Amino acid sequence: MDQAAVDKTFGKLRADALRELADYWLARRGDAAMPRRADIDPMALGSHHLPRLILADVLREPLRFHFQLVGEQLEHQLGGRFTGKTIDISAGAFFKPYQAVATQTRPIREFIRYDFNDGDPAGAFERLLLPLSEDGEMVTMVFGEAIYTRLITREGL
Amino acid sequence: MTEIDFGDPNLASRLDAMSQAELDALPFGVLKLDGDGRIVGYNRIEGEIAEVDFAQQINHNFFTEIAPCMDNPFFRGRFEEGIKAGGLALDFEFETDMDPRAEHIRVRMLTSNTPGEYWVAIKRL
Repeated sequence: MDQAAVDKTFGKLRADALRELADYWLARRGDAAMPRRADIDPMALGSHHLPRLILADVLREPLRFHFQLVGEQLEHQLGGRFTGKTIDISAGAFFKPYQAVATQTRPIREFIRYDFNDGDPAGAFERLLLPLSEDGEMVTMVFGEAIYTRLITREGL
Repeated sequence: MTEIDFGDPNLASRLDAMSQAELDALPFGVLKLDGDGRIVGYNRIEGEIAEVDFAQQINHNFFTEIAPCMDNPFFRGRFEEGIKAGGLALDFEFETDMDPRAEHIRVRMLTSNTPGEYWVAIKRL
């Protein structure tokens, strides 16, 4: 894993909760490139993270992602149940950040601040997706958290 | 270089009043799209920064072919909704690890005075 890319991504994080998530991932991986699933205990992260967590299996040939967990707050904000769903390339922009984690073997962060000038207050979105691996090389799961301030999308995570 | 503030509330009308030479002298990128998101105009700096020959991209779709990181409900969805609502005045700040051309950008999408055309102003932060 490109440690410089990891440092750059983590260095940009704005939300305290996502910095905590990054620190937890770094601590749990130890000397390995990435933690294993068994190294991660969502409950140990703190209760404020749980409603916003994402945990997805990486399925290959073709590449897909099966959501083992999408936090209740995220599902409520997105207006649908995502836990148990599987997405593939047909999910378009929704698929791309998960694809980047699995194929580039690196954390992926996105941040958006938006103002629609429609009288509503501006909002923001920040998401950090992290790779997990059973063998330290191939990404087998994606673990992450997404934080919305004033949700405006009705599609995707 | 043309003196203009990226955050100018009258940015669209100021861009409408500019010649191509003035647009090319702007310190930020500018594209002009039709209502379907197809590129109908551009300025020099956007081509240089994005490393895209926009002369070869006229009538190509901005969202699907040039900026796939914006082909999502946040950007394209709001672009289309703004057009339907009769006015486009969107302001985004965007950071992504997935596209080095959009590592940290501010984007304004605005209605042009030319019917059926829309400005996309892109500033690298």
